[in-house]
Amino acid sequence: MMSLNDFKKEILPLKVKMYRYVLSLVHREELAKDIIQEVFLRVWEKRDTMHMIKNKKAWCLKCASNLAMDKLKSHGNKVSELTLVSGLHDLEQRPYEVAESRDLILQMQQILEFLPADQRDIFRLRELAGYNNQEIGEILGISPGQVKVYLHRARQKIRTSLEQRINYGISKS
Amino acid sequence: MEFQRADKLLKRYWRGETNSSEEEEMRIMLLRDGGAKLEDHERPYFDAVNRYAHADLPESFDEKILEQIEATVEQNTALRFGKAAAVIILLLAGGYTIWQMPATEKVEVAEMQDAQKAFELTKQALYMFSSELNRGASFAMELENFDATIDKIKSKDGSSEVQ
Repeated sequence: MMSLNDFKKEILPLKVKMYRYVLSLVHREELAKDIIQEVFLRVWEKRDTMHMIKNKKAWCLKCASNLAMDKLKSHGNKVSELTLVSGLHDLEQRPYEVAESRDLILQMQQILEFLPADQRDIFRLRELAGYNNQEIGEILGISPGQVKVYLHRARQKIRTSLEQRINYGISKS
Repeated sequence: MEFQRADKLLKRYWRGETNSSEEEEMRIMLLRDGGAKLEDHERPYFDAVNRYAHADLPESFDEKILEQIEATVEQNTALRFGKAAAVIILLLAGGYTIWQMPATEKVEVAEMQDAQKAFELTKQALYMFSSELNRGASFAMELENFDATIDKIKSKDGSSEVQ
């Protein structure tokens, strides 16, 4: 059975990378925080059987990802509701930051749309959440070499798409 | 010098050859001075990635989670004590009810228990008796034959004496 000390040692340190990963899925700070909190409470509720789960990091991420999908379905995914930059509650006072934040989210959503699903997950885990190739391999059940290949393809695709957008004048700037 | 290093890292980055720390170093160098070293199409990309990659939770997050967890621990402990207390109360209530039962009801219960016991004992005794009866039946038959034979011999002897 997982004790409170085990929880502090094994589960709590997963929070930051997991938060960044969830944020890349939902693009809302408050929602991402709520999801991480819910995942941790679920882990605690399952503390009697958690020792049977081999890869707790992967389990938590899967749980967070499923929760994020459920919340997105129920909340909708309107960019106007998104708040990536902290302290944007007073929208009238800081319109420039609001606009910048929305541009940023749109930019990220477009980047992610360039990629097929498998590459998108690896991109999120590596570039946005900050996991290394070894960790991603363990989470997804593939070798670090395969992770490297997928990541390389993802970056190539992004680079080409960004260049094309500039060349064809699709870019907003 | 820094520009050369950043440029080299950028080329390696697009080829997927950099590690996490090199990428962090590269982003810092490239985004300095508003990303002047970057191409137009690269600047918004690195800016967006950098913002997501540095998003962080507030310091109070751990405290909030641990507070909620400790609340569930206390709830569970209270629930466990509550269950134990409920069992003790039930046992005490049961004992008290029997203790408070009128004497006649107690006698009736005792009589009923005695009658049941007597019935069981009688049943056992009868069963034993019947099995013993069966066991002696063959012996009784042999004795009967023996008596008949003796009678026959006696009657033969009697007739010979008369002759």
